[in-house]
Amino acid sequence: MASITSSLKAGFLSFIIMFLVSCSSADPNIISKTDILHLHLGGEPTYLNPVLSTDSPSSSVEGLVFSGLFRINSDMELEPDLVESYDVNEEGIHYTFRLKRDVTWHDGIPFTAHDVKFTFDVILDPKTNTVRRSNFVLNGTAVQFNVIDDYTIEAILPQPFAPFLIRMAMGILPKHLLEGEDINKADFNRAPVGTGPYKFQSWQPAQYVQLERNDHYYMGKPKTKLIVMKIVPDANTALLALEKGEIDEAGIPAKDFSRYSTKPFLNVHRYYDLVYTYMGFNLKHPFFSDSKVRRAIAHAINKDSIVSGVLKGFGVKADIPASPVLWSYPDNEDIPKFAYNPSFAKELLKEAGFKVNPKTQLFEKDGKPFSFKIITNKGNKDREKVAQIIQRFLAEIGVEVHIQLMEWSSFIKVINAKKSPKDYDAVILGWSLGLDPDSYSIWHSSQYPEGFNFVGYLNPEVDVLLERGRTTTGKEQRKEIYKELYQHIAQDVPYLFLYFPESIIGINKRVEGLSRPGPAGLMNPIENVYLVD
Amino acid sequence: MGILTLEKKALFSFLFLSGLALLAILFPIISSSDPNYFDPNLIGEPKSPSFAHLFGTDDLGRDILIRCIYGSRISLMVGFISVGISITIGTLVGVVSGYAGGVADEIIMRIVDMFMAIPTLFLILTIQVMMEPSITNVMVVIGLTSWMGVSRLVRAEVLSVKNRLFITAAKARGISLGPLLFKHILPHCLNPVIVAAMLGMGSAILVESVLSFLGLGVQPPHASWGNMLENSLSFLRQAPWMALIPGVLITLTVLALNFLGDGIRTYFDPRSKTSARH
Repeated sequence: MASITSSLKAGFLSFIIMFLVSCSSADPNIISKTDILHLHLGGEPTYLNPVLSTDSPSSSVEGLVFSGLFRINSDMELEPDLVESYDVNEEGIHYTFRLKRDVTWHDGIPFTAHDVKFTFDVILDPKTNTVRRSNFVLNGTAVQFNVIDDYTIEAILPQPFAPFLIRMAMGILPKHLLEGEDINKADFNRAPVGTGPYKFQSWQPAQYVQLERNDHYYMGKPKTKLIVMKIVPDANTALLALEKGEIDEAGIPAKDFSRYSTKPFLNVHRYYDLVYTYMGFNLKHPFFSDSKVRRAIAHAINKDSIVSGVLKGFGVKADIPASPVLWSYPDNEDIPKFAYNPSFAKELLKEAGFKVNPKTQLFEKDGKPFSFKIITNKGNKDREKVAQIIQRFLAEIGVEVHIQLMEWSSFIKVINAKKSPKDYDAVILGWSLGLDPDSYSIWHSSQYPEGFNFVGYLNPEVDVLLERGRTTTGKEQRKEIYKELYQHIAQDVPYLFLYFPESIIGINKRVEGLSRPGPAGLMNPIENVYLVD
Repeated sequence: MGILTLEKKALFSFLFLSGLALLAILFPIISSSDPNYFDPNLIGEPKSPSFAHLFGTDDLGRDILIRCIYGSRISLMVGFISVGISITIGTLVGVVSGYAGGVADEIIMRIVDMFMAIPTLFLILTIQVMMEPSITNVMVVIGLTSWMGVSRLVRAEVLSVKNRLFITAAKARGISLGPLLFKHILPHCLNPVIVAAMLGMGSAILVESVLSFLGLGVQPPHASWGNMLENSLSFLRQAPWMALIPGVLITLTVLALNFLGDGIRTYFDPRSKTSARH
């Protein structure tokens, strides 16, 4: 017994000595608390490959590991990233990109124009499972990329295409690691190699993705050594983790804003996001095909109540599919707004041929009661609440609404069904706007029934405006085109635009070097972010 | 040990359940309050319990007491109907299998084994995801996947009853098969069925709560204890009563059903001291 105790003591002593020794020597490998930034991922990433992934957890990781020819800065402007300089000819169809020369991949191999060509070839290859192909195919003709020399590449477009440079912010893949591989199944997708500020280190499913700084990053060595992105799908759990200091940033629900904004260890930032929430009507539905009916519903719903009831005031109501924080937002206010006016809504329904059934107090037309179903995806509490509020508002005027929450995959199956008409009456969804106002894929009649125009919107004038909008390059001219476009869309009410929510992000005070709050994120660029004690 | 307390527990459980059932049946008749009503222009914060709203209100301003009562209708309906289905099937299968014996019994029991291997909850989840979620589906699927235990119990009873003297006597009188099975054999097998029904109702109510909690049961705005609980999740700290009240109701109801089932079993059990009455 005694001998065991003494040997334990000896062991303990030697442990203390070792500990002291390791502390005293200034070993650069010792990690201190200020070396690790803990970020939050709202779900498990799918593919860590910017060509394949479509989910936001993956793109959060990819944003740190990969870089594109351009990047978006905190002012929401495009700035050169891998590109040194570029030219475009007068017709706007011939681009020449000169690339930075001192860039290496995380494995040490130099980055060249061949990698750029390889990436876009992969996207254009029909065998690749990517949704990004249509970004580089215009009217059926693909953009052509030609390597001039190791550091120069040209792009030849079939027609001018205003959003082209933004599309070139797409992360570039290493040719030397992926050539000859089946990209859809490559091991690379779970252990990516990029040119970005952080190197991929490990991915523990359902736990975290760990990144290490790229000491040779061409835009300057990042200030923080390690980034651990913790996978916490549940928002409430993430909030607890933020409180305990296990993660350094998390989104805060509007209703909890006041509780978290006073926490001494947190900085809470608010900014408008580029996401709007809307109710989309199936325009092939016998009632909703009449724009008068859609306008009646717009007048029956008080968007202000939704903004205050669901968002607790952290948001603004939306009237058009454009964000007030982007340059393309129209200046003047001659856009139809559909003020809350339930009695006028009833008038409109009567004009559209509906009568009130004295028995049920519901509107009906040709003996069919005005009753429809709103579907939305399960798990989004805000949308569920919006659906119930809309249901109440429409009950007030005599329109019956049923609600169905659906599993995301079956929901997507319904709205993406390759048939017309599709099996739904109305949906509540969100749409994330890009920096460029080009919204061809949502509103152009060619994008139905296959494509994002799943409501089946068809307005020939809108089609023309959409085509002109993407082939015109002057900002001011485009702004005019899109203003006219938004007027048409607002007037037609294919969607009932509801609101733009504010993002509320809580960040631990130990995190410094943040950028101005905005849709481009608070840690943009990430290499400036550092931690203090 | 504990016969008296068990009886008391069973009595209280019975009173609680009858009260709940009466309220669920009568409330919509005597009151016109709409459990889904709220003023969309006046959505505030959840209000804590007060005289105006005994159980408080939820995040849309709806009265939790009224929603709980309407939720109890769903829970009790799911309990009764799904157990009704499972008892009917289970009894039929058990009687036939037990009485037939031999190869038929063997085959039927292997089929029962097969059904027992199906994980009920996952089957229901799959069906609810693939089809439009509806409470009818929930009841039917719970009923169709929970009869196996009952059929086993009934079969065991039939096996022991069918060789008793009065059955032989009935057969000797030339009674036909139907009346023999259902007039003479079945009444002697009902005690375990009643107990199984009580316990089955408890678990059916739990399954419904789980489904509604996962968003696959009762669809909003309609209330069920499960979806009220789910809705309360993000308000746990702000408005704990939103979670507490439906949670306590689920617990009490399932507990009461189990106590009642236990009480009935003890009462009928020939091995317990009260068997003299039997």
